Amino acid sequence: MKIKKSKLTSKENKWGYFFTAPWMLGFLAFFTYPLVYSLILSFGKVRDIVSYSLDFAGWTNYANAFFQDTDFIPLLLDTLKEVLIKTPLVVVFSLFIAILLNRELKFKGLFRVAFFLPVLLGTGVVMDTITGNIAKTASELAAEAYESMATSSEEMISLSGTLVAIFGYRIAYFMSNLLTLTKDIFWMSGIQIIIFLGALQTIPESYYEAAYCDGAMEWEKFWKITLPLVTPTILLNTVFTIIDFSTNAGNKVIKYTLDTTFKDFNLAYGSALGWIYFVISGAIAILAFTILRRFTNYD
Amino acid sequence: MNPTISENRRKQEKITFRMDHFRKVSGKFLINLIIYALLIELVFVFLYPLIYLVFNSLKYDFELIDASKVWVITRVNAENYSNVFQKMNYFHTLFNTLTVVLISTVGHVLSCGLAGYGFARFQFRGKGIMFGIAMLSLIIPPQVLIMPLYIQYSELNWMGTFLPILVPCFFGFGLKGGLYIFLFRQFFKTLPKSYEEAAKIEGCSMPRIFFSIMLPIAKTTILVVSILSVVWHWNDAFEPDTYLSNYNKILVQRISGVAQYGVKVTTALGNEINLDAMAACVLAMLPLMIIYFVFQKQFMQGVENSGLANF
Repeated sequence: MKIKKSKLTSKENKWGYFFTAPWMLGFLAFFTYPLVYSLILSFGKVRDIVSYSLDFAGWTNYANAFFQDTDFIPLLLDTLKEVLIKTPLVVVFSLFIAILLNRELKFKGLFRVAFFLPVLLGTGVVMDTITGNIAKTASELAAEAYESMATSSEEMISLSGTLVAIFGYRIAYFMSNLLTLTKDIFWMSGIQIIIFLGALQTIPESYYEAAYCDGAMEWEKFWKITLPLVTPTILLNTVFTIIDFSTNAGNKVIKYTLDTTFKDFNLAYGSALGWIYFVISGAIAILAFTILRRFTNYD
Repeated sequence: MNPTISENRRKQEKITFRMDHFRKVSGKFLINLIIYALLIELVFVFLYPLIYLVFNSLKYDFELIDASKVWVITRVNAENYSNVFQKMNYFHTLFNTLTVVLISTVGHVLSCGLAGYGFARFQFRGKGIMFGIAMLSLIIPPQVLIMPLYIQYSELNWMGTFLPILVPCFFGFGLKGGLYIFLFRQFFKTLPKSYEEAAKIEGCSMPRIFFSIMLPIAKTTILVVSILSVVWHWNDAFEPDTYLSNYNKILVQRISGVAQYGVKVTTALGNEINLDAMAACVLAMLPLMIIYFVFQKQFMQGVENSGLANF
C-alpha cells in the first residue's frame, strides 16, 4: 500500500518555492539568460558592433582558439599549471598553520588577524602598489643583477645582487622564483586557515586525551585523529581554492579574455574563450570533488 | 631492611619523576618556542608590506634617498595625505564605495538568507539540482557572463549607475553569492525543528517565522556573510570597472590609481617608491581595516562556529 505524504507536509513544502523565489528569479535573469546568450555568441561572429547582430559561424571560434591563436593555449596551460601546483600547497600550508594556531597560545588574536590580512587587502590597485614597490618580479631582479655583474660588494645592497653574487645566476633565479611562489601561497591561504581552524575546533578534546592515555605521541595523534576528522574540510577547502585561483581577477587567462572582449571588441571570440576556460576549470573542480570524496569519511 | 629498601626506592622514584617532569616541561618549552618563532616569522612576512606602506606614506622624499633611514621617520609628512585627499576627492568616493558596499551586503543577507532557509528546511522537487546550480554559479568566471550582461544593462540604461552591481545582490547573484547561500543553508540545518513547530502551534505564518525568529538567531552567520561581502565588494575591481566608467561614481579603490601618476623616487635600496601612491593606498584601505578590526573577534568566532566544517 502506498503511503501518501500528508497534505500538510506537502503544503508546507510549497513554502520552499516561496523562499527560494528571489533566487530563482535571479537565476533566470542574471544567470541563465547571460549564459545562454554568451553560448550563442560564442558560436557566432559579430557582424557589426553597433547593433550586436550575429552571423552563425559554427565552431570557428573554438577552432581559432586552439589552432590559430598563439597566445591563448600557453596562457591557459600556464594558469592550469598554477592552479594544480598551488592548490595542494595552499591547502597543506593552511592546515599546518591552523594546527599551530589551535594550541593554547598568547596573541592568538593577533596571529589570526595577520593571516587574514591578505583577504582584506584583496587584489587590485592596492596590492599591486604594495607588492610592486617592495619586490620587483624575479626575472627583472635576476636580469638586472646579471647585467650589473654583481661580484663586488657594492652591488650587494639589494637582495637580488646578493643572491647572484653568492650563488650565481641560475640559482638566484630559482630562489627568487621560489620566494615568489611562497609569497603567492601565503597570500591566498587566508580564508582556508580560518575554515580549518573552525573544523579543528569541532574535534572534541576527549579524543586526544583518550589517545594520550593509550600512549600516542603527537605524530600519531595527528595522523590517526586529526587528519581523518578533517577530511570533509579538506575537500571543501580544495574545491574553494581551485575556484579562487580560477576566478582570481589577476589571472592571465582572464585578463586575456577580457582584453579580447573589450579592447579588441571581438565579442564572439571572447565568449568562446570564456567558455573554454569555464569548462576546463569546472572540470578540474568537479574532478577534485569526486576524487576527494572517496577519501572523506563522515562520522 | 624493609624500611631502608622502600625508602631508597621512594627516593629513587622521586628523582626519576623529577627528571621526567623536567624533561617534559623543557621539551614542551622547546616546542612552544619553535612554534612561536615560526608564527612570529610568518606574521612578519604578512605584516611587512603593510607596515612598509604606512611608514613610507609618512616620509618626505629626501628621506628616501638615505639608506640608513628605512624605518626611522624624523619628521612626519602630512603633505602626502593632503595631496592625495584632494586628488582622490576622498569623501565623495568614500561615500560611493560605502553606498555600494552596504547596500549590496544588505541585499546578499536578505536574498541568500531566504534561499538558504528554503534549501535547508523544505523538500521540494528539484531542490538538489537547484542547490547544485547555486554552487555552480561560483565556478563560472564572470567573464563568461559579462558580455551579455553588459549588453542587457546598456539596453536598460543602467550603465554608469550603481544598479548593475546592486540589483543582482538582491536576487542572490552578486559577488560570490553561492557561497553565502551555502553558509546560510549550513547554519539553518543545525537548528532543531522544534523552534518552527512551537511557532506554528502559536499560529505564526511562515514568512513571519523567518523574519522574526530565524533571522535573529542567525546573527553570527549574518555577521560572517556581511563581513565577507563587505570585504569582497570593497576590493572588487572587476564589476566597477565594467559598469562604472562615469567619473562621478568612481570607487575608492579605483581612484587610488590616480596617485600612480605622481612622482616616483628611487630609494637607495633600488626600488622605486611613489609617496603619493603609498598615502593613497592607506586611505583606500583604512575604512575597511577599521570595520574589520571592530568586528574581527565576532567574525572569527562566527566562521569557526558556523558549521562550515560539517558538511
